[in-house]
Amino acid sequence: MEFIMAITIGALYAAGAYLLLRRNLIKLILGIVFIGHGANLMIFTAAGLRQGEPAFVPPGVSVLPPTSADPLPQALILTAIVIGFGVLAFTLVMAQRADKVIGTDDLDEMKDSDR
Amino acid sequence: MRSLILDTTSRLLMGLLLMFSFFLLLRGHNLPGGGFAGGLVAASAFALQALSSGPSAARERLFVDPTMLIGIGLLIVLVAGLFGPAFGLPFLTGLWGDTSLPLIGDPGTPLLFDAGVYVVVMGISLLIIFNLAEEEGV
Amino acid sequence: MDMVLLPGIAAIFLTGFVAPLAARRLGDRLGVFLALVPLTVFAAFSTLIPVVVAGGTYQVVLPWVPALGISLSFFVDGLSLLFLLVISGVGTFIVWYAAGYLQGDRGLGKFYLYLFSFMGAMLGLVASDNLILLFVFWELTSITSYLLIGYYHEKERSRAAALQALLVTGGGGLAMLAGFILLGRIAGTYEISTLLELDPSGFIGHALFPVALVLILLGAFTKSAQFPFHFWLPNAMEAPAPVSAFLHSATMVKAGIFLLARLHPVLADHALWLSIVAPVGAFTMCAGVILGLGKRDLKQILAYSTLSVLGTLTLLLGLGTPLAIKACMIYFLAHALYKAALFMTAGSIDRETGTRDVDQLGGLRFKMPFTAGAALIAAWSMAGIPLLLGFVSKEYFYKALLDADGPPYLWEILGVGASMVMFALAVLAGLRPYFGKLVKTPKPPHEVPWTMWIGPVMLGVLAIYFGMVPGWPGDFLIGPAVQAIQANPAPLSRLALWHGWNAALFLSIVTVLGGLIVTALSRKVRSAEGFYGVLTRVGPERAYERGLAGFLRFSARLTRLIQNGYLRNYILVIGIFTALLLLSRMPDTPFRMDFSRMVPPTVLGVGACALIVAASVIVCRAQTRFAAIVSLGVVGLGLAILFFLFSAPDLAMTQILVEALTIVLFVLAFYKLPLMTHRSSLVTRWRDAILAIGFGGIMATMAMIAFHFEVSQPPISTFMGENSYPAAHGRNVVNVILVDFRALDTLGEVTVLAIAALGIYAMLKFRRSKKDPPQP
Repeated sequence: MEFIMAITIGALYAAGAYLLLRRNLIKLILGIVFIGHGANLMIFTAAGLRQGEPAFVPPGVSVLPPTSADPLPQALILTAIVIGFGVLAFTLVMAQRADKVIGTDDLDEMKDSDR
Repeated sequence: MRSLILDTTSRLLMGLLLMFSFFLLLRGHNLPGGGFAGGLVAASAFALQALSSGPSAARERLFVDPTMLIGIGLLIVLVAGLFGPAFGLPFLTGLWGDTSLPLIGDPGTPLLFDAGVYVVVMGISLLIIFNLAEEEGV
Repeated sequence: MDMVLLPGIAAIFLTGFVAPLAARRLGDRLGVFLALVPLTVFAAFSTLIPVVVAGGTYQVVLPWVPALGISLSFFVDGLSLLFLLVISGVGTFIVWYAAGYLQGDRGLGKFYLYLFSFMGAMLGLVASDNLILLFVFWELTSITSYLLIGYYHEKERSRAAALQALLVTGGGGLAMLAGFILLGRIAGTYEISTLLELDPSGFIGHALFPVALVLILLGAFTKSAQFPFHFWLPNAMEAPAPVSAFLHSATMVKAGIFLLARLHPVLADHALWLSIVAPVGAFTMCAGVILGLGKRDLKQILAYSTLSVLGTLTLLLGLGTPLAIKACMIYFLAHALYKAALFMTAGSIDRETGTRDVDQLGGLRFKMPFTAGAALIAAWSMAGIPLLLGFVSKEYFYKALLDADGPPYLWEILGVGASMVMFALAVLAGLRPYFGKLVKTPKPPHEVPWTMWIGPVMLGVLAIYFGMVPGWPGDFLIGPAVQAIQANPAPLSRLALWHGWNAALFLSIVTVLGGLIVTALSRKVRSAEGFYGVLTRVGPERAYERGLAGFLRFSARLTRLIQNGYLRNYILVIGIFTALLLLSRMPDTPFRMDFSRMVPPTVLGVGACALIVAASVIVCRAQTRFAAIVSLGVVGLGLAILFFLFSAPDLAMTQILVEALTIVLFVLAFYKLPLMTHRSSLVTRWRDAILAIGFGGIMATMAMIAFHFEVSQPPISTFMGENSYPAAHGRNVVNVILVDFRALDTLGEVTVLAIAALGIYAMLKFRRSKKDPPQP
């Protein structure tokens, strides 16, 4: 399964890279989201996958069973998802403002807008 | 794009969603959930309202300004952290009471901390959504 | 415990920072009070005279970067002390003078901040015992002089002159730093006092020694405005008069001379020293006076005569005989006294009459008696007529020339010739404006306030006193300085005014007679504009201008090339380099594929992966924003399924919630969803697709490598799993990590989110109103 996940990660990164290279502002933002997804899934896969063993200490036991999923990458990814949401919101609003002020979503037409 | 059906359902759903978000927050320490998820659910309750009956109606139901929510949330997080120094322990040290409650487990400063996260996440999401909605004249 | 040196320097710097605050309260009286600080420091430094007269040195060491052998070490010997006293002494008068000169100027506090910072840097420079520390102070004087020359920053000429001075002296300073580092490596120490005690023959034969020597000379020559770097000094006359009087006559330009003198024992034994330093000095000496004779502006005349003096000092150090070094130090002191005074009187004339043109000035002696008296004494000293220190210095200068090796009569002829023209310049700058008929000037002249004439008068009195009894400064100031410069100190005869009928006196008489003739001809020379026009056109300043313009053009082109404004080109470059970097490291970790460690594929898992891949392709090919956004949601959903399947329910839940809100955001931000037409050509799209797939392939490989990577230590999550319930009262370990184990990270995260949200709020709410002026 990890191998298939790796291919999926590659696809997410590839889509992200392709979208980052577009001239459309929205596609650029989508590209950032895809790269983020790829990174999250990469961390998730690198830690090794577990089936049906979430990182919970079962009732009656005081220590996390060693077969459980690794909680630390999950905490990292959870943080990354929420931060990614913040980044997305920020870039979206920035893009929306740029679209309103400059009147285009073509990055090539924006290249001189800071002069 | 007002829709009576959407409007009514979102009103009904709001209470349900808010209850669910509290539930997520409280049980988060022992089962899936927590401040992030809870805050997002609470935000989506009001976001739904904003989409169905407009941001001003949603703001009215919220009572508090989202900016204020962010401030309050950060304050709660900070206070939860300051319990440690108050007892001569490092900042953000977890402290627990003696009683054990159903659902929550042992109440302590981590729960307060998580509640702060809940409020901040809710405030942030709503600040963005309300302002964007007003901007677009939804 | 050092009670003199560092407290003195620190007091100067501190005064500078207090000045802008005090300026509001004290107004025009500010300078009068501030001058008390350098005066006190001067008095404090004077207490070190007995130490250096006895042949000792005064040392202070504070560790700075011990690992690199760099320490904040200071030492004062005869040479440093002479400079310390000149800087703080002349500085006192300058501060007073500036109080009058810049009366009512709004930026007075700022001016004093720059001036005191410069003074402190200069004091630090001459007291440094470490080459690196000396460099730091050296560059600090360049920067503060930039601010001072450009003080009238609303004038373009002022700014250009300031930049020129900074580029020339700062550039030279960098060359000097390289030279210092080489020298330090070759000699094995950066401490000047240690260097001076070493036997130079031990390292002088090193292959890199000539390189170090030339680099250090570059620093000294740029700072002391030696040909071909001389042009910045006359241009720097754009500065206010007190700055010219302080920086460009008495102190900063002497830093190069100081450096040559300081390192004389270390460097002068090399053959290159004599063959570079002396000719450059001699050339500058002659070129300075010749160019100066063509000027009508008082300050320009003084600036070129300063160039000539700097050349003379360099020549004397280049000759390097004991007599030459002695002459150099006397000449330095004499020049500091008379040139600062002349610059101040020139500034007074400029301020009172509104012109500095010598041909439009005359007869001011009754209108400005104190200024005229001070200028007369200073000019007297500059001309080298008996009874003043200037005469003594000229005598020793001639003696040194007569004594020196070299082509027969060459040094003597050049020296006497330059001194004759110098005589004429002294008459022009010190006598012409005050004698003869009163000439009508743009403003009716009055005597300046006392703060402005006290300095020139006091300096004149000193010049007379030192000239009458030269033995006194000779014993206490010059003697110790000469001892400090010479590698093998030899006993020197006492300084005296009268040396009997000898060759030097004969040369002096010739100089005065020749000077009178040059003076008589000077007006004719000034009108020879054709001759001077040619000189300016072929001078090295042209090279500077061309070089600067070319450099600006080059950087503009380079910027356009690499900062072309196309975002995706930047991304392409960054992406390709990241990929190359990753590829270059991949051979270190051999690729493995250990299926036995993997979870067997599940139907749902493979389905979710397929869903993600398919949706990704759709997003890339989408023609409408709507299609793209919906497909993005599908990708998020697929991720949530994967998280859920593989034991991360918290992640799955958060992912779904974020995905829902993301779509809400997209819909709100881009309410109207127009078509997303393909803007790039088909070729570009295929190129990008191939690059992107290559990048994806690399990242997929990375994922596999990361999966197979084995950590030797037990992961920290073991600790978290063991302590989550017993210590942190929580069974959901992921949540416990977020709110307890790593709560500080979460605190940071929510703070960042809050700031991002406020940024969004600001972007939406606060627009630039139409009334605001457009951004340049």
